[in-house]
Amino acid sequence: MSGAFGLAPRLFARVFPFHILLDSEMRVVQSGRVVYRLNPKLTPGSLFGDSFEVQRPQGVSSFDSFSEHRADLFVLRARESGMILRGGMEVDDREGRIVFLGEPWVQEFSEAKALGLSMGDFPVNSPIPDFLLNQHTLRVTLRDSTKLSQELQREIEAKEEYERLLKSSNTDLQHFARIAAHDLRQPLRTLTGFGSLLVDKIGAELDEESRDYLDTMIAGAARMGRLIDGLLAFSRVSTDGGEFVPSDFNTIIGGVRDALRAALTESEGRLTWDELPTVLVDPRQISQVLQNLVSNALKFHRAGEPPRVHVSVEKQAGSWHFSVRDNGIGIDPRFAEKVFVIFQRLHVRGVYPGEGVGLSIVQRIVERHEGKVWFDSQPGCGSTFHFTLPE
Amino acid sequence: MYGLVNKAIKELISTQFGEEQWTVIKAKAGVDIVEFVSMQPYPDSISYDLVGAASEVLGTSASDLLEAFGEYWVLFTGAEGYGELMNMSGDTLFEFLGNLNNLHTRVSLTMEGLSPPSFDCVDVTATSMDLHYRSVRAGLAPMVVGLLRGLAKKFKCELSIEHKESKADGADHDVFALRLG
Repeated sequence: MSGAFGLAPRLFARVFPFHILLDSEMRVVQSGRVVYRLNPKLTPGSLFGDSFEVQRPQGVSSFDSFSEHRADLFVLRARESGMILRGGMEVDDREGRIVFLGEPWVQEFSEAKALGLSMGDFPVNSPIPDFLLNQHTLRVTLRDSTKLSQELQREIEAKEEYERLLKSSNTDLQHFARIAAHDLRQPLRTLTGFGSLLVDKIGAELDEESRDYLDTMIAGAARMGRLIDGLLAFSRVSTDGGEFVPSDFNTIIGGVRDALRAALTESEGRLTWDELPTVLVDPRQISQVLQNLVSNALKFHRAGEPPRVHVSVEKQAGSWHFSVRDNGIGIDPRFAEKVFVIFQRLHVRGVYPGEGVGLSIVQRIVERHEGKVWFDSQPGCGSTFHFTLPE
Repeated sequence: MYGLVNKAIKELISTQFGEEQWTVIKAKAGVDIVEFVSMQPYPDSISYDLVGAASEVLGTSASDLLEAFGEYWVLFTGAEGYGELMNMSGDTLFEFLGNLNNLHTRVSLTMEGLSPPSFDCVDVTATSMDLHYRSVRAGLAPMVVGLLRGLAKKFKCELSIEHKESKADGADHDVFALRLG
């Protein structure tokens, strides 16, 4: 090695654009190009104290006191521009000189720009631009987070409002159900009761046409009673739902078969099923779903062909997919929307009995379980009703 | 790419073509993100899919759209709080372009995983230079043209741009000959 590496004054000035070199009388010997540009009073020979005050450490003004604090972090404040410089003092005791090496302390791009600083003023290796960029990034992230948090709060409030309306609507529905159950039923009972009395009392004396009128009136009242029952059952899916408990579907479908034994015998039908899982459901309502689907399959069977109904299951990602397949008359896919609408019937009442409530109840119960229900079918080729339930 | 880029795409489409078009384009691109977070990295495919869907829905070529986006990017980043950073990066277009590499290097240190492009200024005179653009991403040269137009507006200067060499035509990278006045 031929000697230690030393910086020529011009190179030193370029590498340290914010340096200030002072003599033992605290007069400026030289300064970096940027600190000088921003503090034009910092001319050689001028007093350092005319341009800057030392904010930290406190009580430092003379060469000796600077020398005593050579290991401290210095904070200088430019008297005119207000610019803050942070850095350290290197003391050359032999030459009687002090050099301040530091950089401006700024926390925002706008602050730096207001002081008259540009990117080119910082040495390439300076961490200050990176610090400013980091600060800005944090601010942008905080702003985005605040915005997202506000949006989330708005959504929570909207959901709470929706839940409040839903609760109120459910209360109305329960109220309506009570009215339907008691208040509407009473006049119907009066109508059918007095109608029957009339038949008993004067039925034999009436001509055929008058008797037909009376029968139609009583049948109409009876049907209205059934419609009210259907409406009540439909509304009670939400209001009278039970708890979700682990339920063995083999037991449930066995119960359905027992409940429909008469219909199975009468139609010479057969209900079969695969090994079924245990799922967290309201067992009473799921029993209702299966009973409605199987009962429909038995009802809509093809003339001369005994109904065959099979229940199967398939495990999917996060859910169970149940299928109830029959060999019945099938459904035209054009009626896909209509099938699940309450009181919608696809057939003439005299041919297939019912009020069009069963499938709408099925849909409502499955939706209460956060599942989906649909069917695929072709007229004359049987139907398969599918429903999913969360695992 | 960072969310900032996708936010800019959203802003450009929403402000110039309407909020509804943005909803259509987002759906067509299969993007179901409600709000992009500026400093969160997202797969590049999201930005490409958005540009592709926008091109289809708006009936504009991807190249024209990218050029418009490049021009808008200058406005957008300024409005998003990067204006002072840009202001600090140069008082003239050529000074700014000279600092662009350092700017992107610093940004890449702050934003983890970012792969910013590089811009080298070659044969620089007071009124002309060759700008060498290199990027790991394909097909974004039209965006650079838009960026240069946007910057020329910002620095209030007349700029002519000639795409001298194109990576799409087999060159090693893209080179733009720039002339002021």
